[in-house]
Amino acid sequence: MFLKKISLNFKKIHFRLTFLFSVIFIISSLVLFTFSFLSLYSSMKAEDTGNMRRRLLNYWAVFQSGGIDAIAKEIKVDSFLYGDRAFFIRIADSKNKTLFLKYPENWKNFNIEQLAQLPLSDFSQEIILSSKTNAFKLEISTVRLSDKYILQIGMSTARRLYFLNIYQRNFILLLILLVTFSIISGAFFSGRALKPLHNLSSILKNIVETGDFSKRVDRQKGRDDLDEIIMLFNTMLTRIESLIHQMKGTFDSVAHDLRTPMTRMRGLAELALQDPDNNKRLTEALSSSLEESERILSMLNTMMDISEAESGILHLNLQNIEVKKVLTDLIDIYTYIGEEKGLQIQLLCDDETISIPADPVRFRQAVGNILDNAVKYSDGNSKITVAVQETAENCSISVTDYGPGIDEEEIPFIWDRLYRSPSKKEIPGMGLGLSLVKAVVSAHGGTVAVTSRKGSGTVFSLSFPLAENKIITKL
Amino acid sequence: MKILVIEDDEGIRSFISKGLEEAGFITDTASDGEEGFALLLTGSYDAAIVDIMLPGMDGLTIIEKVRARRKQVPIIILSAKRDVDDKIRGLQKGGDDYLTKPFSFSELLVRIQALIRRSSAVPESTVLSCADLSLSLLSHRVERAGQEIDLQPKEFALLEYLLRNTGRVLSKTLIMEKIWHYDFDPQTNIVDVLVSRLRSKIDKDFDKKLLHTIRGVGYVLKED
Repeated sequence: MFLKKISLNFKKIHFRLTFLFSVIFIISSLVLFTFSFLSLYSSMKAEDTGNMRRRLLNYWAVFQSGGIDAIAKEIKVDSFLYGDRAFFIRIADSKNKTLFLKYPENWKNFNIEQLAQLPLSDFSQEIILSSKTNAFKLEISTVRLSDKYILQIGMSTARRLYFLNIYQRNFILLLILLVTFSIISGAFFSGRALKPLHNLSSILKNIVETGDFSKRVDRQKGRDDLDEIIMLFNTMLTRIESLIHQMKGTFDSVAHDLRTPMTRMRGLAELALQDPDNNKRLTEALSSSLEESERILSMLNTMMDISEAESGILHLNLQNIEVKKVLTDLIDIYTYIGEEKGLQIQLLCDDETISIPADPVRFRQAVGNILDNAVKYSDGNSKITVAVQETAENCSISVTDYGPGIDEEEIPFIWDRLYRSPSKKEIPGMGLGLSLVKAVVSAHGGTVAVTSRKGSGTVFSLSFPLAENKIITKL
Repeated sequence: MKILVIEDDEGIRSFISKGLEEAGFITDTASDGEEGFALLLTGSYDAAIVDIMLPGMDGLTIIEKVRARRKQVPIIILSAKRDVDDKIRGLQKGGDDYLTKPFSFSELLVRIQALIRRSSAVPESTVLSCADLSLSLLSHRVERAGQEIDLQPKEFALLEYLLRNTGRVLSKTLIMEKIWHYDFDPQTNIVDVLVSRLRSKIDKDFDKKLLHTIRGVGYVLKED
């Protein structure tokens, strides 16, 4: 239901972007048009006005040299009534009585004679005459020739109108073209910009509907913000997928590994019940069951720890821990056990101040496991050394024992879950210790290493980063 | 001594109350959060055992509300989660101790007794003893049948702990926590080692054995 809504919204965004794009395009085109139209208009108007002025000046000059007769003569020669720059001319006396009027045949609708009825004061400005039948207008300018005469010249705006009309028509045509283009390109670009989101939503939809995490969102060419989101999303999917995968694996192995001790426990109880009156045997079976359940619990906890650490969901309570202090406390515990075998544990750490960001419980667990192994696998009456070394970026803790060493062909397997050395089956253990160590150290962003020589001993090194920002769960 | 058990699982509830009654306590039980909260507020209990996951009102809320009303009854939290954060949160809300399921009953018993002792603050004697074994807290002298025994500090601490809990079974976890202040499983038999050393010093040369191993549960100091 809500998925439908999401894809609908996407269409809305697409539409909105396209619409916005077009509107902006149209508005800016209109602004451009208005501006260019106005400047064209005013420049043409100025040209016409200039034209008229020139003629007026011309007649005025003729009048000054030859009086009214000279003008009459001048008018006769003029072909002002024809051609595209036609104009009319009117001469009136000081009472605005028309003395002379000539205009082109086709202007009679303008009722030019009415000029004689207007008061003289109106002529100080330009007069505009319009008619009912013609689209163009007449613009009339007046000049006073002398105290007795005024001269008026009128010109039509037809030419101006004609050009502006062409301009307008062309512009509208162009606008239609541009709007069509802007809608198409807007739709195209917003569609392209939204494509990653579209892909994202279709992959999400697929995941929600089918629970299949295997598909990834296609990445577009070019690195933009959306591409980064897609990349992060894909990385997240990879992470989730691997988590799910690991969890499935964990369930399988936990189920498998717990079956064995549970079977033992069940067998013990059943066997004891076959002879229910034998109190001693019952007590024995109950005690063994308790021990077995303790072992199962410990195994379960360790396996959970390993899986959590390996899959990156182990919560690390990071604190700056003073390595020397923590190691001293730990060694104190294992010295106690070591003494039983005549083992000495030596700590080689000159620098008291070394500290690393680590979860104190997990750190002790990891180093403790290595120490425990060292004690278990050492020969009697020897020693174990714990050395701390600091490099630029890491703090390395190496535990060296002088025991029998590990077979070379076994080394690749010692970190595996539930691996137990076939030659040392008599030493108790679950085969989880080293896997836990590796998982915990890796979760801290560190590394583990081992070197061993048959017959002379083994060195386990745990290397922890000194800076917290190096701690990232690697996936 | 009266103890309230708030736990929704019937099996766990009944084994806790049965065990506590056998140990001499009187118990009340509640199977959901609201009922438990009401009982805890109105009744007068010496201690309460509260499960975290409960129907109605969860255990942490109960503790928070009870503490908000200035009720000082000692509370032990039971939880199926072994997350350190959970433990910290539980103790911050006002719980006094924390046990992860599955737990051993003897451990629960020891923890309850420790809490009650702490809250009632009985003046302690300076000499602890069991049969002919005695330990002086002031002079740090340990004697058995008049014979002085020389103990290492950890052995002394363990013996003191056992003597304070004479007759009670102490689990390895409890001993680990008390002697080394560690609350994680060190995957080692260190407690066995310590116990066997102590045993060799206090029991080996005497006919009557005092320090006993209860297989699968822990250790107990008692006269047979």
